[in-house]
Amino acid sequence: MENSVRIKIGLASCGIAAGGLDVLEKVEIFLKEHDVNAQLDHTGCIGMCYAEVLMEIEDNEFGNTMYGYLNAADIDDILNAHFIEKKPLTEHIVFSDKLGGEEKQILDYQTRIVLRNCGVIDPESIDEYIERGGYEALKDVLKDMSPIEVIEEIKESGLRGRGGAGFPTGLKWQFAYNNYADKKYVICNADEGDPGAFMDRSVLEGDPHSILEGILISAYAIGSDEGFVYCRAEYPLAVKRLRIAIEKAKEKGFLGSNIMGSDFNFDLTVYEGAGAFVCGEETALMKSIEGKRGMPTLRPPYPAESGLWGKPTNINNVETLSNVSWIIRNGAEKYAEFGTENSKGTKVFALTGKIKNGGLVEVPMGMTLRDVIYKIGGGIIEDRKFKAVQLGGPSGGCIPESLLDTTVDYDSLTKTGAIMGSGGMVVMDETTCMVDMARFFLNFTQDESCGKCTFCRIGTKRMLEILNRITQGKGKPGDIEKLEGLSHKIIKGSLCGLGQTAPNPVLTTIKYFRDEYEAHINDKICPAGVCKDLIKYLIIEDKCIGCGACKLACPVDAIIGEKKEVHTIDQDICTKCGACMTACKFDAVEKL
Amino acid sequence: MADIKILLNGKEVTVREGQTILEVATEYGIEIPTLCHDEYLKPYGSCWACLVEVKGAKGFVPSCATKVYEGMEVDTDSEEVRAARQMALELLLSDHYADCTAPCILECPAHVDVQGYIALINDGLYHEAVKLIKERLPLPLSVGRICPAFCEKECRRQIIDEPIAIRQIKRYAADKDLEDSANTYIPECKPSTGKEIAIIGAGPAGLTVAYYLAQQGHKCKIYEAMPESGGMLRYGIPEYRLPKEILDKEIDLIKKLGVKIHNNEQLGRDFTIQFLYKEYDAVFLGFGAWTAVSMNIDGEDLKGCHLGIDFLRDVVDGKITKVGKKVAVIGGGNTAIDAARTALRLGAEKVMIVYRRAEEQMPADEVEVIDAKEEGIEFHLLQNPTKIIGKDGKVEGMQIIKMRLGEPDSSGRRRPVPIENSEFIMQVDTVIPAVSQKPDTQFLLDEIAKINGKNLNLTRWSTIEVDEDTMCTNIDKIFAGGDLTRGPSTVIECVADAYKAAKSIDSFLKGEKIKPTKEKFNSKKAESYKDLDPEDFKEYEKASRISSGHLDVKDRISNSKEVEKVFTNKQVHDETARCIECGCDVNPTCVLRKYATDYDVIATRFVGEVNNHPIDKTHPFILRDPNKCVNCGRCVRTCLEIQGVGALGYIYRGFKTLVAPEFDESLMNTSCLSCGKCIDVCPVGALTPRNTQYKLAPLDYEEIQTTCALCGAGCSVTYMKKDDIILKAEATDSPITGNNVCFNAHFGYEVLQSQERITQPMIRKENQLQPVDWEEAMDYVTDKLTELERDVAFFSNGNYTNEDLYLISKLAKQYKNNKKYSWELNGSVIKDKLDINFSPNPSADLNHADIIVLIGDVTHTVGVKIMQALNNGAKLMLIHPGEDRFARRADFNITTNYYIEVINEFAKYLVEYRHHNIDYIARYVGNFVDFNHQLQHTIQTGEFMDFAHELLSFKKVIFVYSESDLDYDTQNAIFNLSMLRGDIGTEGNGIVSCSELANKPSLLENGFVPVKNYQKLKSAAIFGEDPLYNNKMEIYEWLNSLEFLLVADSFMTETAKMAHVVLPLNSFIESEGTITNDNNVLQTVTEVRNTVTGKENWYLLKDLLGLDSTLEEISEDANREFNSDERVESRYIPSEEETQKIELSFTHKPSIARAAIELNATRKKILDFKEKMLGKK
Repeated sequence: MENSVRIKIGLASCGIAAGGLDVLEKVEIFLKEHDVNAQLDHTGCIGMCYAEVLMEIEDNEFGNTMYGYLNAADIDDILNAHFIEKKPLTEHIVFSDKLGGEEKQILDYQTRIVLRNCGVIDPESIDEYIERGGYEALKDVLKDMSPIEVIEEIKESGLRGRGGAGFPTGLKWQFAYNNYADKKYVICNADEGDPGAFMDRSVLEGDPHSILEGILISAYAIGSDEGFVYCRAEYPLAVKRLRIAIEKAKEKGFLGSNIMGSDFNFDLTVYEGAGAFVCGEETALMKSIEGKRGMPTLRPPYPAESGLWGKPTNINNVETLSNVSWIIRNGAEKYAEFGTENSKGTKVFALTGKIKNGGLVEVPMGMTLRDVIYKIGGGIIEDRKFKAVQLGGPSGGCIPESLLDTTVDYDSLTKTGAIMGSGGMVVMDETTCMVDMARFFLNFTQDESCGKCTFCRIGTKRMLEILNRITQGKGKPGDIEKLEGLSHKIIKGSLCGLGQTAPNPVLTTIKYFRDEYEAHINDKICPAGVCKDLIKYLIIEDKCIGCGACKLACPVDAIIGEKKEVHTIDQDICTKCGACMTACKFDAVEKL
Repeated sequence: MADIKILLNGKEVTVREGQTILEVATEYGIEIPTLCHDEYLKPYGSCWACLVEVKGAKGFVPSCATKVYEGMEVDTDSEEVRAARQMALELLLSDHYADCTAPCILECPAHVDVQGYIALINDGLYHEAVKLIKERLPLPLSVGRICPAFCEKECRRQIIDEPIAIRQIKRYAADKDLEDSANTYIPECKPSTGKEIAIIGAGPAGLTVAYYLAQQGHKCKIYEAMPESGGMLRYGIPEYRLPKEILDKEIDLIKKLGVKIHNNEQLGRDFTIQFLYKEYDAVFLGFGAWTAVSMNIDGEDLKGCHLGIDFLRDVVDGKITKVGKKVAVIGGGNTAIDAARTALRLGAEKVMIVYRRAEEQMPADEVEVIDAKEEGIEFHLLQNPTKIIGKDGKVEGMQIIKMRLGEPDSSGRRRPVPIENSEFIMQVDTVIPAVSQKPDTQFLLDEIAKINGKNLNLTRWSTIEVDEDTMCTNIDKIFAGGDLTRGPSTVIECVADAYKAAKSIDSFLKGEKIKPTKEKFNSKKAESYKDLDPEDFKEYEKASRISSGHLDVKDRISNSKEVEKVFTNKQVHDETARCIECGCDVNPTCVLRKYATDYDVIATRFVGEVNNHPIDKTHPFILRDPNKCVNCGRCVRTCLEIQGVGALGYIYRGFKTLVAPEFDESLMNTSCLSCGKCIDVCPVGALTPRNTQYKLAPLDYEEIQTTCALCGAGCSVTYMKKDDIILKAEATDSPITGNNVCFNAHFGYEVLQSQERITQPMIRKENQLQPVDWEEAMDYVTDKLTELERDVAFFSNGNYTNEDLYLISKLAKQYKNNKKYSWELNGSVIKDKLDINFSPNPSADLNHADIIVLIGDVTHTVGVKIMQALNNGAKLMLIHPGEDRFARRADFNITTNYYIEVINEFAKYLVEYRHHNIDYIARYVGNFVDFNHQLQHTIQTGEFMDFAHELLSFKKVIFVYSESDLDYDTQNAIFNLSMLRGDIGTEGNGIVSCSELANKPSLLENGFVPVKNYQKLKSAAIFGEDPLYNNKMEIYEWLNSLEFLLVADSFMTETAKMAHVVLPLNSFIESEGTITNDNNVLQTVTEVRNTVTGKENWYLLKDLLGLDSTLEEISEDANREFNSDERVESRYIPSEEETQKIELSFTHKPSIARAAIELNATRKKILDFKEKMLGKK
């Protein structure tokens, strides 16, 4: 491998969205024109979505060099400097073995089990997966382990479901194993629907075989010969890569009959969801595969007893399954070294919101939120004041600054009123209105309710109406109590997780930011200055020089005033878009 | 199931494992509300009304779906549980754009069921309407003439055009009821309680109290101060509005209940309140407000000045017979107008009404004002007299001051303010101040009126103080109401008081606690029609209010004739048809409403957006109002899982989630079977039946349960009727058929009630069928039957009772050849080979099969049983010529026209692969070798081999078909196959055969056989069959050649048209007796409505036979002859006798194996009706 050069470009959805395909084209042209002998590969998301497009060059000269924040226009210069002039442009380097760049710490703080191959291998190549030890676990399992031994191993690892509820995975398998039936199914839940969550997508796009291997092992363990990946149709790239992976695995004999020469048979189908959030709920998901309306059903019977088409069914989510082969290969004990007493292993979070380094991070359970946000995430944009972090998406809750030292594990997070959930982590700063935030999430869940349970269908609607009223300055005394009353009944009186958790954002914001609610209701003020009906823009007489910039900027002609005279805003016309504030160079527009 | 112990509301109880909390609670008498639970469906858990707390559970637990376990601690009634249920209901009702009760009813002070009586009147049921009215208002003749009609003021119809003329409709019904004096409604009175009540005043209040208490068995004595009864109705309301003759009749109707009225006896003058208190068990005071309030101006004592109410009374009494030439009446109320119009009729030349405010503020009825104006009465508005001027002690004029309107006063009306120096003089010779009245109650404050040291409490308006909810005074035993407690008001308000008082008095007399009646919860679309969006009503076509018209002015002012004319029949029908039926049809039975009442729901707790959908009236039988839907999904699940149709589903998400046909289309664009089952399971009024002939209303119907005799299933059905008209139907729970009916029972009764029915015998005279009376017809038929020495062949279909068929058979036996045929009998292989008259396996066996092989079409109810079996895990193999509702549920779908080929091929492989039961065959089959030879050598296609192999892999197999659908050969092929399996009649194995004939076992038992060689028959008596229905020339020729043809049927069929004599028959809804279903179960048919022919079928047959038996005796004979004890669910059991072997016959005829069903006229009419209404014809 004397002169071998390899270039990898991040082409997960985040990379493509940032212009990855243009970069790829430029690189291809450059290599051709300059006759550089390099292997050009696609890879998945390494997690540093904020720094996309990312391009990693491996060569003998400089070792590994990761260029970031790229766009197509930079490519010629960068490659020219790197390959021709041999003087790499260090300002484009994010991190490297030999050339500086400091952002590697973002990766250094992480423990990458689930994301072990993401951004490293070409997701469309089964060989690269195999090269890194892929399908070894399956081989071991089929050769040396009985189903019960597999289940015991998973139990021992302490792996808990990463889909939200955190149910012990081994136990779930055990239940499905225990039920005798002529047919059993396994399902991989890839219907990642939480706003702000994209870890499953990244794994699907970046390392699909790790999921396949996990599914195969779970199927072997429970005694199933048929499975489905239920993937949301909004993830076309993930669906495509899954299908490629299935094809390749079939070619290799990892799927189909007599897998790896054993008497284990297994077929896997990708089923695309139709965009209903509630289909992420396992019973609704199964109804959807059956071709019925995705509506949750009563439990018991649990899927392990009577699931898809009434047969025992094991259902795990993407992240859970991608842990499986790692556990088998490295041993339960090794896995259990990570994490806390009741929460073993790592957890992937999608870090978004007002955070500097937004992206995907995988940390060992037990790290504090503060470390995740500040050490890995780099803190708040523009170094503003941290206000809260919303965990678990619309089913979760917010955690205020006072609880930032909470560790990420199932029990500690639940104590705060938030949940681990699927791993969405939305960071909010002082410019976020907590009432508006709660309203946003509730609006989402209320829209996505399947409409079956009374409390969820109508209760969340009525809550939303109250929140709307509050943010419009029409809140009434007693509204907070009404919200709390509805919340408690909705939580206790709903069949599925959607309803049982929908009020969480409201309840936690009331718990930690009650004063903000009261300010909206009693004083008709939005302290964060977000709720349009509660703010107004004013021109400060002393500062206005009458330049007319604001008048020009105003889209609704709400500003009056002659040149060189103090301007005023007609509040009746003003739509509170804030254009005047942006336009004013003299800080003469203030927001109240 | 093992017994386990749980803690139910803190009490240890023993229950069975596998039960749900809801089942356990029901067993222990604890009511748990539920909307979505249906015992025929799997637990669903959507409404959350049934939630309970279980110790250790995370949230609430839906009790309908949660099974009990040892040591479970359940709380079904904690405060938290009740609060949560209340909230669930409040949330549901916050999105319930619907009215429980029509606004007209709510607006009526007495809450008379306006919508109900309008519907009854529209349906021609006047006595029923009056009966309904009199549940709340005993005086419809009077009130129908003089009521200000609060109901009409909120009538929703005015959003479209004008309110319904409710008052006149009521008057019409009351007049009709009275007119038909033989049937005039008089309520029944309970046996005497021995209690006696004194009622003071025979006005509206007193008469009402007496009317209701008399019905309760209490003795009522009314003391009336005036010489005649009626109170203000007599003395306050002029003759031209309420003829006293009518009033007398109305009072007479009340007297018929045993109420005694003592006239000329006045409280305080002739007896004391102490006397009443002591002598009676209770006292009701209702002596009105008779003291005219004067204006307190100079000159009121002059001759020619009469106070309003005194004036009206004196006119009635004859004390005043004429007035002056120029009359001024002071005031703007009804009394003022009445006085003015009366003065006019007493010969005044000019009558003026002087009123201090503007017309807008006038309290009098608008209609009265219009009438008065028509009659030429002048209105002097914004004027007020300041004194009456007299000369020689007689009125000569009035000094009047002009007024203007100032600020509104406490009543909201603008206060009249005098304009200074605007006085003028008006020349008049008669002045009638009619400003107000008050009760004369001062004597009640006397020492002598004290009871136990207390006087009755009076208000500052001299009225008696009462608790408005119960009409109790401050003294026990004494109740009061009407004008006496409210001051001058309307008759209907006094009646409302009196109704409440009667309830309280009745409770008091029974020793119960007096409490106000808990009002039922009422959901409302809006408080007033003004708040509704006219867009929601655009579907209605405009149709102006119909006026009955008034007498011409010239014809009325010189006399006291009733001014208002009465509606004609057509007018009242058209006017009642205008009613848009605001109240919910199921409000008496709505579960949501009941729970909302039980849980004291406050509908306005959660106010917000409300889903508003158009009401789907496109389906002729099913009305779908999505606004009332609670998303319980019972219809969705029933339609898909039980009926196998899936016409309804959920659409949209979140708050907008809606139960509807797909794409929110009309129900007509679905595969709906119109079975109406969705209606039966709807717990609210989102799905309700429609009736194409009659107007429905939320009424308490008389319910009669019977067995549907339109096919062999024998479904139990409940008919709901008023008078003799069936208006609705519903499936009844039955151990035999479950809880199921099809279109025929649910809606088909409409056909049986139609005008098409024949009700009179007919005899052919001069080659024309002419109606005759029964006597003539019976004589004719008896003579003919006796005269015919040769044979008469008898025909009957299977839709008659055991008794009827027994008697027809008996008739046939009178002829030596005893010929009994049925065109409908297709030939039954089961009968021929096994010698049984019923299905070899009961339909309940479907539930025990591993696979069901369905060949062709089956009856609806057997179809439902198949669906249930599939839901429980059975597989389905469908052999059918095309798409049907089972296709999507079929595990193996064989689309073919040639059933026989498939079945034979199955049989071939069964033997070839050694799956036949050799022992059984050896024991019971006589010709197996020959048969098998034919089978193996004739069948060669191999087309269905894969299916055959599938079929062989199942242990328990049931073949299902209908004898009415399959020809004899196909039935035979199925029989062969089943015999080869050797398991016919065993649980879960064999043949379930069904039939369109309701009483086939009895038909067979009585010896009826399929028709053959009919051309040779010379005379025929055909009961309920129409062989000519498909116009076969050879049948026509045969019928034409008959020496004698008697046709008895419910409809004028083509065959009947050829008869020499036609006898009308009753249908099953007019019949009494028994029938036997496909599974040999004896069931009861109950007469739902009276005979339409004047002779019950059995009676007619008995007469023909010259018997003198009762129905009971006939029934006993009929069923004894055929071992009624054995008429229970049966199965085929092979004979023990060694010699009995069955010969199999091989048939191989590749023909379209669907039999032509000879429909009888009744079923055909129902099918025609269905198809016509659904637009398929």
